[in-house]
Amino acid sequence: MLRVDGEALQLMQPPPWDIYSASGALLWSQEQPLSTPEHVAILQVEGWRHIQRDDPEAANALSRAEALRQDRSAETTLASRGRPPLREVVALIADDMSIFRKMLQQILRDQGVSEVHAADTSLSALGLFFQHQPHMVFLDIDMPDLSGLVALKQIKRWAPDTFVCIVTSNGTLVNVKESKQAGVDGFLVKPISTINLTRVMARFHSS
Amino acid sequence: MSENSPLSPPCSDDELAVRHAIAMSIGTSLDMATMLDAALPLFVEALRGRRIVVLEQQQQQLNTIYHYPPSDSVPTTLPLSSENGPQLPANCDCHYWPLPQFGILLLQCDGTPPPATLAAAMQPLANKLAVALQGCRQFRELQAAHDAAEAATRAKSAFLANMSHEIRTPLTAIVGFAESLLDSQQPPAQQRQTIQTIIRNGHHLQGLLCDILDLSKIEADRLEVERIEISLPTLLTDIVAIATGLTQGLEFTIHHLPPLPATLQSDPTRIKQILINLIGNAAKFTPSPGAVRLLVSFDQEQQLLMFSIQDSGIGMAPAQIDRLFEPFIQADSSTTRQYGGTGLGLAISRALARRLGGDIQVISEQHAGSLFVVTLATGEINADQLLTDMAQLQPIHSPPERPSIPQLQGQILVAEDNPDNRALLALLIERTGAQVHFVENGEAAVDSAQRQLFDLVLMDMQMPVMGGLDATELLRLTGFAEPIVALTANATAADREAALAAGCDDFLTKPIDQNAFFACLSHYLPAATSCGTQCATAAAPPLPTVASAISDDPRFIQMQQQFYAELPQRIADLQQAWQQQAWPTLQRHAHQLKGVGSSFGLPQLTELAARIERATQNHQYQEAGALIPELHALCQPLKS
Repeated sequence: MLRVDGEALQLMQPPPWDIYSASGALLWSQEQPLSTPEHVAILQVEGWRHIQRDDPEAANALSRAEALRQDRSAETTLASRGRPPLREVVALIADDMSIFRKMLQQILRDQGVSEVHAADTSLSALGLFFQHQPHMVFLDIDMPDLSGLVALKQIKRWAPDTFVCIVTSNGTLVNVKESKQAGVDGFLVKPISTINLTRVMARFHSS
Repeated sequence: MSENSPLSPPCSDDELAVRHAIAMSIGTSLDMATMLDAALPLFVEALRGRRIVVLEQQQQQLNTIYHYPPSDSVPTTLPLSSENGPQLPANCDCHYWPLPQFGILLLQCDGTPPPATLAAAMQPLANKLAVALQGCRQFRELQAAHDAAEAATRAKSAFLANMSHEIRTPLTAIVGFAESLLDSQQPPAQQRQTIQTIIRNGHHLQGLLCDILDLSKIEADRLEVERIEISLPTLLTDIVAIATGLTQGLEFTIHHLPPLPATLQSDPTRIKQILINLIGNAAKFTPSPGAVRLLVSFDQEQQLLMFSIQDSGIGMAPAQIDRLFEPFIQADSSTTRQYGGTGLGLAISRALARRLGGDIQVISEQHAGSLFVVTLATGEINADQLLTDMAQLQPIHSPPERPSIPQLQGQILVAEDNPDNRALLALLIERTGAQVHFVENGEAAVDSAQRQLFDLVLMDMQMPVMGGLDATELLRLTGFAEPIVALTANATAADREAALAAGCDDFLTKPIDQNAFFACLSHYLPAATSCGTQCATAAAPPLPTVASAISDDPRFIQMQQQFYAELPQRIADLQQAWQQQAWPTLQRHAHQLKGVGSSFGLPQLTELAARIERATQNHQYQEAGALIPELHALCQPLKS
C-alpha cells in the first residue's frame, strides 16, 4: 500500500484511484466525485491506495502492517448531521449474521427510519459509513475482520456526534468500559426485544 | 578518665569541681571533659572569683543551660539582638565570648576583670566548648529520635500482636466448629448450636474488622465526618429504639433537660455509633437487675450537646480509667473473656467525638457504676431554636413504632450476590405486595432488564462478575430509564457521588433500615390500586421478544423459516469445528446461535449455545462436545 498523494485529490472530482484506510476499508471508489471538503481533507491524511506489481512506485509499497504503523489520524471531522426525526434518518447496521441484519433492518424500517445500509464486516461498515455518513449506527462487537469496538473508535474520530450503538450478546465489563471510553451512545444487548430497541432508540433523540 | 591516670599531675580542687560540673552538664556518656583537658587550667584561672555562665541560643533569645558555681542570681534568659549580640543588664560587669553555632560563654567578673592574656585565650576555649556542646546536643537529639522510633515500633508490635490474637481467637472457633460439623454423628440440636457459634464468631470478627478499619482511619487522620442538619427529636427517637434493644433485662430511661436545640449540625451516623458503643458498654457491665440512664442536655454558652450515660454496673478503679481510651485495652484482660468486645470501641468513640467538636469524659467508682459524658458541637444555635416544651420532645418517650408497611405495586429487580441479603429483601418486598426478581450480579441484571419490564432496580454495589456501578452505567446505556437505587455498605460522600455519576437515583445503606427501605419503595412505586393484592400479585408477563411482537408478520415468518432451514447446517458446522478442535470457530458458532436463538422462538437454543460457548471459553472441550447431541435433539422437531 502507498499513502495517497494529497495533491491529486480535488473536491467534486473523482480520485485517480480507489482509496482505502490503512486497515483495509474501501473509503472512496475511483468513479465517485469527492463530495465535501472534509472528506477530501480526511482522505488526504488517512487515505492509502493499492499498488500493482508493474506500478513504477511498486518498490515503495508498504505491507498492511507497516501502513497501519505509519497511519495518521486527520484532525478534520466530517460535518455534523445532527439528529433529525426518524423519517429522515439514515442508519447503518454491521452484523455478520445475515438473519440478524435483516431483522434489525426490518425493525428499523418499521420504526420509520428512511434508509438502512447493512454491512457484514466491520471494514465494509467503515467504508459505508465514510461514504454515507449515517445518523445512526449499530455495530456488532464480534465480527470476523475487525472488532466492532475498533470500528466504533474510528467512526467517533471521523464524526464524533454520530449516534453509535454497540450490539452484543456479551455485555461484559471490558466491552462496556472500552465502549464508554470511545464515547458509545447506546448498548443493545441481544436478544433484541421491542423494549430494548425502543429504549436505545429513545437515546437517539435524548442524548 | 584522665584524673585517675597515675601519669597526670594531681588536680586542684577547683579543677576537679570544674571538670565534674562540665561532665554533669554536657553528659557523662561523651568524654567531653577529656576533650577540654588542655583548656581546663584556663577555666580554673578564669573562674578565680568569677562565675561562668553558658547560654544556648534559641531563636532570638539566650537561655542559661549551665553556670558554675551555682547561684540563684544568674539570669535564666537574655534577649539577643542580631547586630549587637546579647543585651546584658546595664550594671552587669561581664565579659562574653561567642560559642559558634551554639550560644555564648559569659564571665561575670564582679569587679576583677580577667587579665588581657586570659581574655585572649578564652575564645579558643569557647570554640572548643562549642564543638563539645554541639556534639552533645546532636547526641541528645539522636537519642530522643531513637527512643521515639523504638517506642513506636514497640506500640506497633503490641498492636499487631493484640490484633492477631483478637482475630485468631474467633477464627479458631469458626474453623474448629466448622470442622466438627463434618462429623455427621452430631445430633441436629448440637449441630444447630455449632452453627450458631460459628455465626456469632463470624459477627464478632466482622465487628472487629470494622473497628480496626475505623481505628486505622482515625490514626491516619482520614476519618470523614459529615455536617448535616439533624432533627434532635428524630435522632433521640432512633437512639431510644437502639438503646431499648441494647439494654434488655435492665431498666433504661431517658431524661431531657431542656432547653434543647430543635436541630443541630453534625453527623447522625457517627453520633449513633458513639452512643451505641457507650450504651452497649453500660449494659454489658451492668448485671441484671440494674439501670442505665441517658441524660440529654445542652450547654448554651459553649454550644455543646451533652449525652450522659449512667449505669449502676461494676465500675472501674482509677488506674483502669487512665488507660480506658487506649486501643485494645479493656479494664483488665479478663474482661475480654467475661464480657467480650474488641477493646477498640472507646478509643474510636472518643476520636469520633473529638472529630465532631466534642469529647468523652468518664467518672467511675468501683462497684458503684460509671458515668460517661459525651459532648458534641451543635453548630450555631440561637435562643429561638431551642425547645423548652417537653411535649415537643414527647414522641421520643413512646417506644419506636413498628415501621408501617406500604402497599405497593410494581416489578422490582434486585441485584444482590449475598443470599442472606436476598432473603431479607425478599421478605421486605413481599410484605409490600410488589413483585421481586432476583439476580446475583450486574451482568445478569442488565440481561434481565432486556427481557422484562421493571419499575425499580435495587443494585448492590459490590458484586462479582460485574459490580453495581458498571451495571448501572450499562443499564443507562441500554436506555433503561426507570429509577435505580444503590444498595451500599459504604456510604461515604465519595461513594454517593460515584453512584450518582453512574446513573443511580438514590441510595439505601446496608444493613437495611426498614423505615428507610419502605420510604424509598413508596417513593418510587405506585400504591396498590383498590383491586388490591390481586392486581399487585399478578406478575407482569415477560416482555415479548421481537419474535413474538412481530411473529404474525409474514416477513418475520419468512425469516424464521429461513433460520430454521439453515439451522441443521449451522449445527453441523459447529460439530465439525469441535471435531477439528478448531476452538475459536466452535466458540464463534456457539456465540452466533446464542445471539439469535431466542429471537426466533428458541430460548432453549440460546441457553444451550451459551453453555457450549462458556465451556469452550473455559477450555472444557469435553463438556462442550457433550452438549452437541442436545443441540441436534433440539432441532429434530423443526425438521418435521
